[in-house]
Amino acid sequence: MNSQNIVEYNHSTPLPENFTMTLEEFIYSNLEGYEYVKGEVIALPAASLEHGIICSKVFLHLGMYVQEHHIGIVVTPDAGFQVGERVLKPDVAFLSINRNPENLSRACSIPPDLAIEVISQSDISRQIIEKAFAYLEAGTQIVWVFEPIGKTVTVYRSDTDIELLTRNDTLSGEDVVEGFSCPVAQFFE
Amino acid sequence: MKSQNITEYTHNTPLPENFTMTLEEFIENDIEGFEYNNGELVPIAASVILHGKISVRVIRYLDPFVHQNQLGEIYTAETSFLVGERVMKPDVAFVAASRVPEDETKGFLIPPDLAVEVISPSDILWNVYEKALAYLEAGTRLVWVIEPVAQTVTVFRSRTDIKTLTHNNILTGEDVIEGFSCPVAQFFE
Repeated sequence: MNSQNIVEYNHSTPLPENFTMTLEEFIYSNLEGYEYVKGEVIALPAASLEHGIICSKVFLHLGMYVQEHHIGIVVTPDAGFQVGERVLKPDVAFLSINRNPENLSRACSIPPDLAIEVISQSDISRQIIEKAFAYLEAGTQIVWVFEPIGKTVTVYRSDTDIELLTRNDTLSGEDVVEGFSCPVAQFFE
Repeated sequence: MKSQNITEYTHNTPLPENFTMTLEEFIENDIEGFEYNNGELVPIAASVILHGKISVRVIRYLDPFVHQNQLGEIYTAETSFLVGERVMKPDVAFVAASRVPEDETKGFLIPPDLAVEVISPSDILWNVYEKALAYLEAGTRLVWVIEPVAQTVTVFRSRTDIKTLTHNNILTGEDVIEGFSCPVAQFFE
């Protein structure tokens, strides 16, 4: 496939069936609304209003803190990150100031320090966990998965260090977003 | 719809599109492989080897304990329970001795005391949480959601009392199956 063909798919054209790309092609094209997992181009689920509201609260609380303390950058979901053999687009992500990517015009070549996913109504449980583990394996230090029905946040630190927080708990940036903390309830208000 | 028509569907006939039943009809003519939620018949996710294996492990550890201590009964996956306005079929369930009805020829018209769900590869996370909370709301005292990829058990006691246990933790029967305990790792060995 030449790069001209790839660019055409950027403009909301539905992808043909059995469409495949190499990791390099995907990074070059950075298709909007898709992630790349093991050779497959996977559409991101349509987001509900509730999903958008939670994302924006996470972005607000985390983003303000990070900006005030000059400790890095917080990005929204259109930004792709190379995560091992995948290109993932977390709903919100934090990159520490020490790890600024070289080329801002492409998908980020390193995984985020903190990846945040907000569960959609169509998300498959297994895929969420596989994604969280893929981040950790590639070097992401913490993954937060926000789950709107139970109003919980699951914190993944390693494949055996997984903690579920409820709305009575406080979410902490631990040693990744140092000093950040916010009651879980605030994200679901 | 006449009950004769309904009965036909129990024999692996695919359901016609937009097929609906009332809660009463479903309880009267339980359809294998389906749960009932809010007017709709919801197919139960197809099981994979791992799913079946874990379900059996749960029964292997729970049943002898429950039997020896005469605490009640353990039921397998096709057993129906009336859970609020739904009919659900947990992968494994426990009903305390005092709540086991005399008539055992029908599904339960009460929710179980403990409901155990093992997540399938196609299960949607949103639905899993919704189900767990529906059990609690209807009076189930304890819900275990067993997740094979991360090898965790999420324990639901109430909307704000939810915790995830990992490999290193021990699952207990709390005050529902008093005295029961089992290392989480044993379910996944």
